[in-house]
Amino acid sequence: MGMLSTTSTRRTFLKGAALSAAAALGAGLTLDGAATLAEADEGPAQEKWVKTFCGTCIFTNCGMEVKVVNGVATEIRGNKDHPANQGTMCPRGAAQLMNLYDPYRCKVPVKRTNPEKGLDVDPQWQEIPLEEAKEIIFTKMEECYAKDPRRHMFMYGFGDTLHEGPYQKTYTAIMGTPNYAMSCGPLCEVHHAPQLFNNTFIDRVDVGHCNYLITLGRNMGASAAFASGPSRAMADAWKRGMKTVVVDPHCNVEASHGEWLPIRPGGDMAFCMAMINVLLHELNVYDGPYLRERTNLPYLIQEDQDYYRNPETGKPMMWDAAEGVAKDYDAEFGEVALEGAYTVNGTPVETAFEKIKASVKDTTPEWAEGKTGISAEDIRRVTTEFAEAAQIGSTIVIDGVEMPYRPVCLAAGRGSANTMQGQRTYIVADTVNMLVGALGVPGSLIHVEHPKFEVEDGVILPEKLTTYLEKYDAGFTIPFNDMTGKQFSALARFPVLTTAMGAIVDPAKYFVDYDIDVLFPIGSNGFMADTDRDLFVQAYKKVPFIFTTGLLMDECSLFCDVILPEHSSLERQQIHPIEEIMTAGVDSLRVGGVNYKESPVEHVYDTVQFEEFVMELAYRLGRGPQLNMTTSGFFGLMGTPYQLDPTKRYTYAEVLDRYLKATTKDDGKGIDWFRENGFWTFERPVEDCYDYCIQGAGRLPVYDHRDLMVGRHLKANCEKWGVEQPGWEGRMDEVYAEYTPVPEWHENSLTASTDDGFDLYCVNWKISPRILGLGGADNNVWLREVVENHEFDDLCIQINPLAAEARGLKTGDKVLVESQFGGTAEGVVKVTGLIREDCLGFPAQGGHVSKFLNPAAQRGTNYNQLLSAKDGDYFTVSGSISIASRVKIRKAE
Amino acid sequence: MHYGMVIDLGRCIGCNACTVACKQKNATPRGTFWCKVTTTEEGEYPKAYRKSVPTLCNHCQNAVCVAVCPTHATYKREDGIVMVDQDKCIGCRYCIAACPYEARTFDFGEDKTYFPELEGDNPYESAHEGAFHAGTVSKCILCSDRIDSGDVSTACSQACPTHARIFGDLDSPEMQELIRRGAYVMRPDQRTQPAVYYLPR
Amino acid sequence: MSTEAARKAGASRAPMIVAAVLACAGIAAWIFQITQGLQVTSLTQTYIWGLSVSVFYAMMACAAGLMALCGFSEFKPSVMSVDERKLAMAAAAPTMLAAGVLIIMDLGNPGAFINLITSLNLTSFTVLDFWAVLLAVIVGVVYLALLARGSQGRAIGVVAMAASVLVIVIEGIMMANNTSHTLWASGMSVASFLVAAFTGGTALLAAIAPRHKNLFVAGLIAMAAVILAETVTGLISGTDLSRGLMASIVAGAYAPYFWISLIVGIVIPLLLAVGGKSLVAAAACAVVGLACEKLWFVLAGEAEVGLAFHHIGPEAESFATLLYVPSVVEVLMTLGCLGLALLLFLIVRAALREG
Repeated sequence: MGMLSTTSTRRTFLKGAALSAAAALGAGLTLDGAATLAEADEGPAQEKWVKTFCGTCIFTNCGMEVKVVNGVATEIRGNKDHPANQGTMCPRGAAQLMNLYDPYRCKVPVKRTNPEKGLDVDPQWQEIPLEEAKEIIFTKMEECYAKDPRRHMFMYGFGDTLHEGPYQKTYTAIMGTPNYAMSCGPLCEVHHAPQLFNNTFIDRVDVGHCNYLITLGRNMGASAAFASGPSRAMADAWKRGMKTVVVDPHCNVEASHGEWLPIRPGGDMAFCMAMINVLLHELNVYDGPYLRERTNLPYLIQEDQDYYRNPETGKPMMWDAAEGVAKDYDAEFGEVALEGAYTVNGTPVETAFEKIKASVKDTTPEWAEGKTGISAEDIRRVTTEFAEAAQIGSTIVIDGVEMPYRPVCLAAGRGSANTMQGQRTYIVADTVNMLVGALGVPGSLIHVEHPKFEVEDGVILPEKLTTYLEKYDAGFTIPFNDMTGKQFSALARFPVLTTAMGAIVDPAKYFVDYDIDVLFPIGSNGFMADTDRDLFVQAYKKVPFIFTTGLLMDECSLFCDVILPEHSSLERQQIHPIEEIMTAGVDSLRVGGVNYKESPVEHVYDTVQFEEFVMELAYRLGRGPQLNMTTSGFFGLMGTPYQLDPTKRYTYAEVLDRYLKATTKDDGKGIDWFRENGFWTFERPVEDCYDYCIQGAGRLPVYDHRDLMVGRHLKANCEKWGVEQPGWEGRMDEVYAEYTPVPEWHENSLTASTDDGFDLYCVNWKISPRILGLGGADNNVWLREVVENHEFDDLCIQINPLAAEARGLKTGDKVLVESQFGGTAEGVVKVTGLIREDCLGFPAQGGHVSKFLNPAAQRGTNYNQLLSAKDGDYFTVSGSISIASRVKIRKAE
Repeated sequence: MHYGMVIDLGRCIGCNACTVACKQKNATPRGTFWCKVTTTEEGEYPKAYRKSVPTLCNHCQNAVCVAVCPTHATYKREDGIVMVDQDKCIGCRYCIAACPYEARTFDFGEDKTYFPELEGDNPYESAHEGAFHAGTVSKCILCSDRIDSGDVSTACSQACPTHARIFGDLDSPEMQELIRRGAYVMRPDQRTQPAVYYLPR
Repeated sequence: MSTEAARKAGASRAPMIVAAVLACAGIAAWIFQITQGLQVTSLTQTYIWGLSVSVFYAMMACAAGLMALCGFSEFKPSVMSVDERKLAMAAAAPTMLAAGVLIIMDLGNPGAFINLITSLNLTSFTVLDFWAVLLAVIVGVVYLALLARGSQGRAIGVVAMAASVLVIVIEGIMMANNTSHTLWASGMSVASFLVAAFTGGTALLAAIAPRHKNLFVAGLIAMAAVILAETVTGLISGTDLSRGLMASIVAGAYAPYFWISLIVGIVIPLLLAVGGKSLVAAAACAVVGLACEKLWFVLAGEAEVGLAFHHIGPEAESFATLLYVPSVVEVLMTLGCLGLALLLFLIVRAALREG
C-alpha cells in the first residue's frame, strides 16, 4: 500500500458520496467552484448531467458531460451540441473519471520531515492543515523576495493542462522574477518557423481543403487521436481523396491510410533540401508571382549574406528587370526580377532566390538518398506529385472570398524539428511550401490565433528586428540577469532547460551570480518528461525549498518540501478558449468561442486550485497590481468594464466571470449562464482564418535574414564579453554557423558514421491513450490497461525483422538498449515491419520511478533517458534536444 | 426494426476511444472489454501498414448464442439487441464456445476492482457495484439501457472521434445506404447474419 | 469372521476409503470453487472449457460404450455373461452419474440450474445433453436393478444401446455444432466420439472379461485411426490454418496431451494387450489416453477463434508454450468425481455380491 495511507487513513478512500469540504475560495454562491449536489443517500437516486470540458490534451476544446448519481460521477460522454468534438471523445477524455477518483492522488496538504531528498527516499510526509502549509510557502517566498526576487524560479509543464489558465505563462511577469523553466520545452521545437512565416505560436493545416499532405514527423491528430476536430478532419480528408505521405521512421496510423516513406532519423533536412533541388533545378516549378509579390526572395543580397541596402534610404532593394536598375523594395516596379546576379553601386549582388537556388544545387535526391534512406526515385516522385497537386496559379472562393488555392502541405512536426538542425528543418520545410505559394492560403499551413504582423523592411516579422535586437543586446550582459540560457540560444522560444537546471547547480558556469532559494514546479515532471535525470536530482536537491500544487506523488513531488494537493482536471473551475489549433477540417476551421467548467461533484479530496493559490500568493507578496494588470491583459479585459482594478483583491471565480462576460461581449454571459450551457461559440469570418487575407503588404521572410542577424549579434556579444556557450568551448564557430539564412546541411552526431557500435536509432511517438502524460494519464488504470492489452504500440520495444534477424532477436526477448549518450532502457522486443530497419521504436512513455504511483505507471520504458540535453549536445540555436539518439541493443541476461 | 452498426474502416484510426467509452459507461471489470479494437500489422516492410478493426457483439440476426443457451439467459429483444439475463445464466460457457466473434466474457470471480493492491473502496467502483455476477457471462448490451431511456445511441459510436461507427436501425434508409456501399460482415459463412457491418478502407 | 475373511473385507475397504477420500476432496474443491469463482481453475477466456469437460466426455464415452456392449450382450450373450453384465453396469451407471456431477461442478453459476430444466430449449445441445445424460443414468440404474433381479432381457438391451448411442451422438453434435471451430465442426466429431465410446467401452470390457482382448485391440486401432486421420491429413494436405492447428497439436501447445493420448492411450495398451500383460493396466492407460484426446481436441479447437481474430500465425511457434495446465482445484474435482464413481461402483458391487 502506498505511503499515502500512513498519513491520511480516514481520508484514504471514500464510500458512496464524497465527503470532503468544497474547496471553493470565492465569494458568492453562484460563482462557487463546485456544483451544488443532491443530498447523499436520501430517497431515490438523484441523477443529473453536468457540463464540463476535457483536460487531457494540449488544447482542450472538447465539450463533455458528466453523469452524477448521488454525488458520484459515474459516466462521462462528449457533449453532442459542441461543434468542436460533436459529442465524441478520445480515449484519454473517456478515462477521466479514473483520474478524478484515482486513489493514488495527493489527498491532503503535507510537509516533508525527512531532510534527505532522492528518487528512492521516503519524504516521510507529515499531514498539516492547509493554512499552515500555505503559511510555510508564503513565509519562504517573502524571505526569498526580501533577498532578491530572482532567487525564485517557476517551472511548468503540460501536467496542469498548460494552456487552460493564465498563470503558467504569466507567472514570471506577475511575480517579478525572470527565472522560469519548462519541462515541456526541450522536445517541442515547433514554434520558430510558424512565428516567422505565420506570425503564430503554432501553425495548423487546412486539411479540409488540402489534396496532398506530406508529414515530416508530425502527428495530424489521427495517429494520436484528438477528438476536437483533427481526427475527424483527417478521416473526412481521406474520404475526399486527400493523399497522405508520411515521412517518418515509424509507420503510424496516418501512414497506414496513405503512403509511408521510412526516413532515417536526422535526415529530414536532407529530404527537404532535395525537394527544393527537384523543384528549382529539375522541374523548374515554383509560384513566380507569389515569390515576387509576397516574399523577400527578390531582395538583393550581397556577398556577406546581408541585404544590400540603398545607401541613401537604408532600404533593401530589388531589381527592376524592365528598367535594368535596382530600386527600393517599396518603389514602383515594371517587373520585379526573381532571378539574376547584378552589380549595384559597384557591389555584386544576387537575388535571395538565387541564394536559395545555389544552396540546394548539389542536394539532389541521390545525395539525399544517402542521408535519408529514402530512394531518390521516391523523393523525386513525391516532389513531382506535390508540385502538380499545388495547382500553382489557381484560386478558390470560400464564402465569397477569393484566395489563391494551393492544396498541398509539407507539414513538419517535432519528429523532424527535434533533430539536428531541426529548427531550420522546419524553416526549410516551410520553404518548400512557400516556393509553390502554399502558405497562409486554403489547403496549406495557416495561422492559429489572429496574428499581429509587424512589417519591417517590407518583411513580416514577429517583432521589429531592430527592437528585438536592441532588447537582445541589452539582455546580454555578464553576469546574466537570469538562468534562461536565451542569451546564448538566441532563437530559443523557451528557457534552455539544461541551463535552468545547470545554473541552479553551478551558477558561475552559466555566468550567473546568485542561487535559487525557492522553486515552484507545477504540472512539471522533468524526471520523466526530460532527459539527464541526474541533473534534475542535483538541482532539486540543491534548492532549499520546493513546493507544488500536486496531483500525484510522482518523481517531482518526491523532492518537494510542501505539497498542496491539487484538483484533478474535472474538478477545476476553469475556462478555455475554443479554437482548432492543429488540423482544421471544414467544420472546425472557423469555430471560436470558450469552454467553461467547474467541478461536477464535491471535491474528492482536500485539494486546491492552482490559479487560486497563485492569486493568494501574489496578493500576499504585495504583487496584487501586477497580478491584476497582467490578468486583465491576458484575458483581454483592458479597456472594458471588466478590467480588474489594480488595487482590489479578486477571486479566480470573479476573474473568470469577468472574462466570460467580456468575451461574449454584447451577450454578457457570465458563470451562471456557462454553468448551464458549458460553452459558447461563434464562427470566425473566413478572412480571419487565412494569413493571406490579413498579411497586407508584408512579405514572407523565405530568405531568413532575421535569424542571420540574430546570429551576428550573438557573435558580437560573445566576443564583446569574451564568453562561450557552455559545452561549446572552442567550437563557437559551429554555433554561429547555425544561423544561416538559407538551407544548409551540417553533419552531426546523429548522421555521423555508426562505427562506434551504436548502429541503430531510437525513435518515439505519441499514441492515442498517452500523449503527454497529462491529466494523470500515466496513472490511469483504464488507459494503462488499454495500452498493455489492446494497443499495437504497447510496452514493447519495436524492432524491424531485418534488424532482429541480424541480432538473433525475436518477439518476447528481454533486451537492454544503450544510447550513444550513456542512457539505457530495458524492455521486451516486438518484431514488426512498422518501423524502419535501422530503428528501434519506443511508443509513448512509461517506466515511472516513483514507488508511490500505481504499479502500472512503473511498467514500460522512460524513453527520454536515451537522449541527451547536456551542454555540447543540445541544439545551440534553440536549447531544444534531439528526439532520436543512436543506440545499440542486446539481449538482457 | 433491428438495431445495428456500420463501422467504416476507412475512418477508424484505432485510437480505442470506443474501448474506454464503453468501459467507463458500463463499469466493466478488469480484463473485461465488451468493445475493443484489434490492431494488426499487414503487408511487409517497407509496405507494411496498420489495420484497426473495432469489434463488439454483433447482435446477430440469427444468433447462435441464443440458440445454444440452455436456460434462455441469452435472449434477443424485439429491437434486435441480444442480451444476457445474469440471473438465469448458469455459466456453462456454451455460448462462448458457439460465438464465432469472441464477443462474450466469462466472469471468473476475480476481484473486480482496478486497485487490488490497495484497501478501501473507490467511489466510482462502489457506485457500480453489483453489476456483474461471478460465474456468468456478460457482453455488449448495445447500450440498451441508454436506448430505453430515450437516448438512441451507443457510448462507442458517440465517442468515436472520426465518426467511424454509425449506429442505427438497419432497416432505415440511411443505414441501408451505408450498407450498400460494399459493407461486409465478419465470418458470413457462419450464417449468423451479424447486425454489425464493416465498410472497407 | 475368520481372519481370512476379515483380511478380504479389510482389503476391499481400502479402495472404498480411498474413493471416499477422493470424493470428499472433490467436493471440498468444488465448494472452494463456488466461493472463489472459476478463477481457481486454469481456464481463460479462450480456454473456456478444460479438464472437467474433457474428463466428462471421456467418462461418458467409457460408461456409455460399456452400457451399449451390455445391451448388445442381451442379444449375443457370448459377449458378456450375466455376472459380467452386472459388474459392467455397476461400473457404467455410477460413472455416468459421476460424470453428470462433474459437469455440474464445472458450471459457473449452478444456483440457476433450475432454469436449464424449465427452459426446454431444444435448440440447445446443452439441454439435450442434460436430458440424454439423465436418461442414460436412469436407464443405467434400471438396467442394473433388472440385472440384480435377474429380469434383464432384449427390451432393456435395446433401450440401453439406444440411450448410449443417443448421449454420445448428442455430445458429438454438441461439439460439431460450433461451426466457428473447424476442428470440431464436422461429422468427424460425432464419428470420433462414437469410436471413443467403442474404445472406452471395450477397454473396460477387456478389464472385466479378458477374453475380449481382441475387441479392445480393435478399439485401440480404431481410435488410433481417428486420431491420425484428424491430425495427419491436416498436417499434410490441409489449409494453412489447419496445418498450423495440427502443428500446434502435434508439436506445439497441446503436444503433451496429444502424445499422452497416442502413447499412453494407444501404444502402451496395445503393447500390454498383445504382450499378454495386465489388461486392467491397459484399460486404465486407454482411459487416461481418452481423456487426453478429449483435452487436446477441446483446447485446440478453442484456440481457433483467437487465431482468426488476432492473426496468430499458423507456425507451430505461435503455440509453443503449453497454454493450459489444469489447476489443483480442477484436478481434485475431477479425481473427486472419479472417486465418487469408484465409491458407488464398490458399494454396488458389494451389494450385488451379498444379494
